[in-house]
Amino acid sequence: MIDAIASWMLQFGALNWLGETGASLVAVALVGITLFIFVAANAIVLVYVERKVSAFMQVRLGPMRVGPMGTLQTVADALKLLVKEDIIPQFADKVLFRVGPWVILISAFVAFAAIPFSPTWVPADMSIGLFYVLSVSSVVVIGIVMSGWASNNKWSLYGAMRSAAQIVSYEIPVGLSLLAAVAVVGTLNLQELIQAQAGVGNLFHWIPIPVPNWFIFNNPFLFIAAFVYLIAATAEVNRTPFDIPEAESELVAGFMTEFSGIRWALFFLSEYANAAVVALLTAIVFLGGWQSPFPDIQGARIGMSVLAVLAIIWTFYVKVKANRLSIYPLAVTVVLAVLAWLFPAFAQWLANPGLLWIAIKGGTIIFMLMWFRWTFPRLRVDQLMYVSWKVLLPLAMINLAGVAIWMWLTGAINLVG
Amino acid sequence: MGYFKNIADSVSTLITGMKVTMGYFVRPREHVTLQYPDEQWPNPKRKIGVGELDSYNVIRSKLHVDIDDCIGCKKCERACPVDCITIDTLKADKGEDIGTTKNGTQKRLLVTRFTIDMTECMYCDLCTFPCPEDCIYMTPDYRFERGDNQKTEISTVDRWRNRQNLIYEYATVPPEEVERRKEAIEAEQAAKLAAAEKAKAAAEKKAAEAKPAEKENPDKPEPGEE
Amino acid sequence: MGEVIFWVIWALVAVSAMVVAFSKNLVYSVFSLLATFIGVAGIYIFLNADFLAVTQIVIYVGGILVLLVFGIMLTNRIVVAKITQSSLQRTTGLVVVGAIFLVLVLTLLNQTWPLATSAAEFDSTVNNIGELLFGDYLILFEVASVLLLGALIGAATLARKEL
Repeated sequence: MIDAIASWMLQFGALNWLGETGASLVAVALVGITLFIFVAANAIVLVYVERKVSAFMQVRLGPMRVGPMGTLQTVADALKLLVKEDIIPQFADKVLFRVGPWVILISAFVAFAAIPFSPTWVPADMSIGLFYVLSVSSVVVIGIVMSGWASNNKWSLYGAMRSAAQIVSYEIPVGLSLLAAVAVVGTLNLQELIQAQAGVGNLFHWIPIPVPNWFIFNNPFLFIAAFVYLIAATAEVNRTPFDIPEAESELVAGFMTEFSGIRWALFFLSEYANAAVVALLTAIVFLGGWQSPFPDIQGARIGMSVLAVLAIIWTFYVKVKANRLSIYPLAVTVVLAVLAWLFPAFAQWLANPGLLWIAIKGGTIIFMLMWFRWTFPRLRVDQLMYVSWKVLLPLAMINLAGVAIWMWLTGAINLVG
Repeated sequence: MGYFKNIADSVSTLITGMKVTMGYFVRPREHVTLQYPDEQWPNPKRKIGVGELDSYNVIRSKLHVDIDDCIGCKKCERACPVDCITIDTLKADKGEDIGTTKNGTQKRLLVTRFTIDMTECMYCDLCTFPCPEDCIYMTPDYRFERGDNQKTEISTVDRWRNRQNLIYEYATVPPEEVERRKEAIEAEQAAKLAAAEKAKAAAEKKAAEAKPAEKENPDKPEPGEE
Repeated sequence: MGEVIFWVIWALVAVSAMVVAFSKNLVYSVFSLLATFIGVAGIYIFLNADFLAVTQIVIYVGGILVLLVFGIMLTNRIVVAKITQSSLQRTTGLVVVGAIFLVLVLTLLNQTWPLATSAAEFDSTVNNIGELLFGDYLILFEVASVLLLGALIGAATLARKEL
């Protein structure tokens, strides 16, 4: 993509003085700045959504006062954090205290370099994309330990050590469950991984229900692997229920305790960037990334109609069960279905792969993460290790073996070759 | 087998929990906290068993004056046991119509100052009964916050102690108007004084001219001593 | 542009490695290892060894460095005591290091280094590494994994109190 932007820039006579090198440098800067704006906006939007989701799940309204429905609340909070006094504790390690948040943010941020947002939109299309994302997200540990130690506060240090132990443990189920998906196509390139998930096929290869050809529907082991990945990745990005590094009730805020103002904002930025990376990676590896769930125009029409029928059933269910009219899902899906039947262009647009689909899938996963967060209580440290080493790890290994056996059964590979 | 049962139990309980939160998420939010300044609970009706008078059976949270109906009779000021009401009045100009109250009484005095010091008020309601126009009464408004003082430079503690926040001024006559009227009255007095002086001088002259029969009259009432 | 980036990475590796060696504060040494490892990964990328570079980050930063940090942080009195490193036996060390340095320099000078005439076409190494590891060298790979598993079990056994 960098080359494409650079050559596009050189088409204009006015930019010719840049030369090849200059143009590619500018292109790199442009892409980086765009991604950074994306990360910042992502944090601001997600904090708002998180507060709203948590409020709705707890029969509250959440922020309501700044802007319509409180939409500008997080913008106001961000501005407040930016202008706050920069406080470094007197006995903190000044250098590491300054560096720590940046290490965390950078390691969360560079992971976006390999994420494909659409068939053409991938900052760096690398052959080891998946492995790269895993590797850079493992650097987060160092940043957490660095800021925890530099705070010179025992709670911060406890939080940092817990975080390190947790991330190191959960990297293994994460890697193994992703490996199960990689084993199906035999590539680490995220674009190729998505391209392999095009079209429509049978559910689990044999059950005759037409589903998108995503890996989560490819075989039952990958179905389990997707959830193993989601759980382990939740733990890897320190989100509740695995947020013992910042357990408020025991450790104040863990490694973030001593941080305030802009440095604390960096933690928040990286937390939500990490959540976005996890969500996007789940969408890419298991849910087909930017692939549309519909193969063509007819597929889009039928698919939207099926959704509308499901919405009708849901409406009836709510009417019978809770005696109230749930009209929004019905209205939205029926309108979309009618539009798809009336306008072939709209149906075509639905069937096209692109940014829309990865955004929807990633958004759904992020909603699931929030759903986890506001439902489950925090795990104890020993329970955390139990889940990682005694449940998720065996499950991931069985999945890996199971995927291989499944592929041999379905004839995707044969062992004699 | 306990191991697998444990996992199965965890999964099923997790799903149960997620169902609960999702149920709350999609449910319409009816019973939520009120958005306080915009929405409020209605004040409860109060019935303390003393008479049927509506003005008595009200939550006494703040003393209020309908200043348009005030005739400046100062009965409430005198009734107040803690002297929390202060009233200043000025006479209206001759022939000037400064309006009538809601009872139809013609107002004759311009109320230039009507302050109620809510830090001193003890909510006894005694001021409301003497009022001939029923214009001073207790309201159930319990919100005493005033944002205007936050613009001043005083510190938080001083702001907390500053009672100026709770001294309510009801008179609406602008200060220039008060000034103008005072000046007019003074000018009138001066004119009267001068006229009296002149008249006196003329009388004296006349008396001197006539004869010093009478020594001197007792002082005429000074003009302007209303 | 490539050369500039290369020299930047080179400087990063050199400076951070010096901090590792010379810093009196052990914690600083450990954390500057982070920069060294990442810089070395960058140099691997310049050698077209993409898989090796990422593996370097995963294993050295995500594994070894965290282990080192654990080792330092879990020592007693971390909060109060200044953790320092001091050099002992400087003369012996100087002799040994000097000898190694001499050997390296001699090797460098005596070897003829074939230079590519043009920049090599970038080709991902992942497939080749995978095929070699799970094809030609499968036995070695499995033996190594069994060795590591043995080490793991041994460590777990030793760490248990009730032997």
